[in-house]
Amino acid sequence: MLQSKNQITVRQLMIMFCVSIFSPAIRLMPGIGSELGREAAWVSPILSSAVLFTLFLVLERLFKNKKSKDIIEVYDMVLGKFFSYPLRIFYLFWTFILYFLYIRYYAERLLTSIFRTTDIRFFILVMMIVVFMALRGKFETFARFCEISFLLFNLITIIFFILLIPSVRIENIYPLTHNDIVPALKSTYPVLGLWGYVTFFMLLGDNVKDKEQIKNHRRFFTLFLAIITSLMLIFIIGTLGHMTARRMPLPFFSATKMIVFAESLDRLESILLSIWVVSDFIIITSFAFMIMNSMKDIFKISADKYLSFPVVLAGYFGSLFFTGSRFELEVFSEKIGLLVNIILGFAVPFIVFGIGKLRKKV
Amino acid sequence: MSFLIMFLVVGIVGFFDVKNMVNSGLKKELIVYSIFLGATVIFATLYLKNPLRRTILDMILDLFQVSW
Repeated sequence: MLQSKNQITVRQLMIMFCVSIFSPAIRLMPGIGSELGREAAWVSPILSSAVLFTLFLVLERLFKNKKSKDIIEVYDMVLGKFFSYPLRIFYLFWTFILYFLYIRYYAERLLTSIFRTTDIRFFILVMMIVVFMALRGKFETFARFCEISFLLFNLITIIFFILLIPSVRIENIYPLTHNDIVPALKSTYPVLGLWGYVTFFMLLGDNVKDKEQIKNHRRFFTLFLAIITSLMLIFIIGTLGHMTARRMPLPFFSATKMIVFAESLDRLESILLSIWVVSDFIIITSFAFMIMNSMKDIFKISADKYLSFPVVLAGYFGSLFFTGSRFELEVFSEKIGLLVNIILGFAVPFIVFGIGKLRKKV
Repeated sequence: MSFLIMFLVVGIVGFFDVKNMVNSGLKKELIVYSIFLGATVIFATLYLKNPLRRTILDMILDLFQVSW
């Protein structure tokens, strides 16, 4: 498992990706999914899994050439530096935007859910100190932390699912007819928008030893994401109904508030909130690593650890400067963020693969 | 007060980072670090001078003509 030169395995990278999207998934998918897919929203991860599996196939082919360190180097090889350089800059710009976005989302959620009167700067400051320590540490240590979190998150999520079973009303998610095909297809939008981050994680390819081994893990991670995301949507929409879920700021949080076990065990939402914060830490740190890695490649420097301080400082002030309200964040995610994620996460690798095939580069 | 804290933090952390980079002979890294840190401090100063100024998202949403 341990790799030389501070490198991790592609399995660890995929785990990092899965744990990272836990937080945005429980925030965005139920709301936007319910609005677009109504009671059929839970089918969308199953439909999206075909696209994700194809992306894994494309990434595997793109990384067949072992010389390429990360996805941008693959773009360099296929498109040439003249066309890949603007792409590299845009990926960096978008990673910065996502970095600010997730810092702000994390703080806004804590304010919305429990700590309504606390100064937002306190939460951002605490998170940025922890992120700074992680960035100064070893990347493989962070990857191992993600592995432990992955096990913990799955265990807690499954317990939540089991405890939510009595609250699920089957009429909220069933029956599905042919009229639900179009809504189900539409509701793949937030799912694909988040699963597209797998391409962003390939920006960290420099730190991954066996990228070509993605073929050994693609089935497991596609199936895992399809099942866990579908179950999450089944339990949220099944418990609250799609009309209520689409109007709530934090539907999964509201659903877990309904859990009462043996008339004694309740108020479990605090456990959800804590794993949510850990997931936020992982996604924010991952984007910070991506920024540092991209800057290292752009400026051709050997040590990127020193960039952690400016990156963290930019994260603190950038997230404060980024938005004034949660509503702005939600509108941005729904109308622009997810769309750009799909373009950069799916469309660009597919197009590059097509061009690579034509030019016989892949 | 916010300005003072920011400049104090930037000064302390920056001093140790620059010292380490000079000791390790990382000249190129030092230039990139200084430019990036300088840009971040300018960005932070802009925010601190008027925290209620127009936000980045507001500008992006305007650019794409998204109303809410």
